[in-house]
Amino acid sequence: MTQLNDRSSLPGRVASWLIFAAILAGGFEPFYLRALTGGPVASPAQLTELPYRKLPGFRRLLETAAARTPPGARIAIALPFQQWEGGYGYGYYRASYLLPGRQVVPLLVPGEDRPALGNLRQADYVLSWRSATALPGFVAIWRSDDGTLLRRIR
Amino acid sequence: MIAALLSSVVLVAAGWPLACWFNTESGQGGRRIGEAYLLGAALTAAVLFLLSLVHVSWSRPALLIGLTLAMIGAMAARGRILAAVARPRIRAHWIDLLTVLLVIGYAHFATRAPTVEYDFIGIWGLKAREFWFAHGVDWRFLENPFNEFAHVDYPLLVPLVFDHYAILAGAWPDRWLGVVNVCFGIATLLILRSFVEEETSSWMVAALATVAMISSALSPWIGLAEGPLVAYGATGVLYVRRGMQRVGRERATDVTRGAVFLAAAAMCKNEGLTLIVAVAAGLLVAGAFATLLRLWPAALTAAMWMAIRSIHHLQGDLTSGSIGSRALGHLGNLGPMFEAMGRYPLGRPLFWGGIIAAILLGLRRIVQRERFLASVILCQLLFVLAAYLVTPHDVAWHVRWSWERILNQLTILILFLAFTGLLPWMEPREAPLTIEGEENPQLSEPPNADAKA
Repeated sequence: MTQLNDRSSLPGRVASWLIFAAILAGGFEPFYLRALTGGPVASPAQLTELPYRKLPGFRRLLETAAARTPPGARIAIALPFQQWEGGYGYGYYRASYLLPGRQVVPLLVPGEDRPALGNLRQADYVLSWRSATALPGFVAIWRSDDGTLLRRIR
Repeated sequence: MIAALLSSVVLVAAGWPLACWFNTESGQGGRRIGEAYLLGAALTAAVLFLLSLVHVSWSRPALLIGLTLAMIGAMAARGRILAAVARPRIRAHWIDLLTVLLVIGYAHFATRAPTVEYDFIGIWGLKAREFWFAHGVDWRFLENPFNEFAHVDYPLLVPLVFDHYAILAGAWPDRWLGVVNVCFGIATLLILRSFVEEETSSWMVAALATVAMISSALSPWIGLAEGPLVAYGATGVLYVRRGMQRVGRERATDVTRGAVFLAAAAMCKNEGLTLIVAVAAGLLVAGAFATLLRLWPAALTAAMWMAIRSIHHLQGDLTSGSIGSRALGHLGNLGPMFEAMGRYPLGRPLFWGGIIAAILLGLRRIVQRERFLASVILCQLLFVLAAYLVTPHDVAWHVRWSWERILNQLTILILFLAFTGLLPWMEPREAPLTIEGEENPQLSEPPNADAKA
C-alpha cells in the first residue's frame, strides 16, 4: 500500500473543504430556482417569436406558406437584404424549419453578397417578406401585411 | 406533456435490459435508470436508422416493434437480467432535495416554450423535423447543397431521438422536445452521482458534489446535442477510467461498457468522434496498450458513420476546402484566437478558481492515479483548439459563439478530475484511499458481486 498524500493534516482538510465550498458556490445555478419561483420571465408567446424577432411577421408568413404549398415544393425566399450576413442569411437559415418537406431556395449565393437569381429557375414558389413583389412567370396566390406568396405559372 | 413523458418512459423501458446487463452492482439503482434512458435513446436512434436503411416508413408500430425486438435480443443475450432487475435501489441524502428542486426548475425552463436556440431551428430540430415529415432519414435533404448550412455532416442520433418523441406523440411536439434535455440531464446526474459515490464514503459530500455538477449536467442550450454528448461522453470516459483501476475481466468489462457509451457520444456530435481518439490517447499515456482494442465498439460505430457520410458526400464547414492552408494561416497569427478567448470569458470565476485549486491540492494523486482522465481532457481540449485553427470562419466570431458551449462539454469531466484530487482530503482519517484501491472496497468489489449473491 502506498499513501498518496498526508491527508491527516488539519490545514489540508480545511483547505479541501474551503475549495469544495468555492466550487459549490461558484457552480450553483440559482436561475433554475428563480424559474420555479416566477419572476420577470418572457411569456411562451414571446419566446416562440424570439428566434424570428428581427423579421417581424416572418414566422407567421412561413407557417402560412407551409399550409398553402404542397410537400416537395421548392420555395425561393425573397428578403429585402443584399448582404448574407446583413439580414438575408438570418431569414434563410430560419425558413426551412417552418417549411418541413419543402426545399428552400436562396436568392443570394450562400455566405456571399452576390445575387443568385439563377436559382429562381429552380423555384415553384417565391415567398416575399413584407413586400408585394411582382415577378414575371409568377402569380401572387396569397398576400398579407407579412408578405406575399407567389406561385409559378405553369 | 403526457406524450413526451410516456415517450421517455418507453426509452427507459427499451434500455432497461441493456442497462441491467451493463450494470449489476448493488445499490446502483440511480445509475441503472440513467443508463437505461441513455441506452434506450441510442437504441431508438439505431432502430429508426435501420428502418430507413431497409426502406420501412417510420410509424408508431414499426418503432415499437423494433424496440421490442431489441429488448428481447438484450434479454436473450443475458439470461440473468430478471434477477438483476429485482435489486436496484436508490439511496439519497436530504441535500438531494435541493438537486430535485433545481431539476424541476430546469424542467420548467426547458419546456415553457419551444426552444429559442438557433442551432435547434437551423441544425438539430430542422433535420429531425425533415426526417419526421419524410417518415425516414431524408438523404436527399442532407445531400442538397442548399441545406449545407444545417451541418449535414453531423451524426444523427439527436435528431432521431427527437423523432422518437414526434412519432410516439403523433405530431411535432415543438415545446415538449425540451423534455429530451431534461431526461439526458437527469441521466447524467444519476450516473455521475454513482461514480462520485465510488470516490467518497460520505453521502453528504456525494450529495453536495451532485449539486455542484448541476450547471454542467443540465445543459442550458435546449434542443442542442450538448446535453446528450455530455451524458454519453462522460459516462463512457468514466467507465473506461474505472476499468483502468481494475484488473482482468472486470477491467475488460468496464472498458467495453465505456466504449459503448463513447460510440453513442460519437453519434451525437463530431466532438464525440474526437473523444474516442482522446480516450485512445489517454490509454496510451496511461500505458494500457492492450486495453486499446476494447474500444472496438466505439471505433466500429465511428468508422461506419464516416463511411456513410462519405458515401453521401456530407461535408462540414471545418473539413471543406484547404484545411492545411487555413491551419497554417491561423498558426502564424494566434493572437485573434486567444484574444477572443480572453474577450469572451467563461464566467463563474469562483467555480473555475476552485477547480484549479482542487487540482493543485490533489496534483500528486492526479499525476499518479489519474493520468488517463487528465490526458483525455487535455487531448480533447487540443481538438477544440484545432477546430479553431482550421475554421473557415472569422476565428473571433467562431470563438465567441462556441467557446463556452464547447468547453461545457468537458466541464463535468474537469470537475470530476478536481473531485478525485479533492475528495481524499475530505475523507475521515481512518479511511484513506490508496494507489491501487487495495483498501477501498468500492474499487475492489467485483462489479457483479450482488448479482452473484
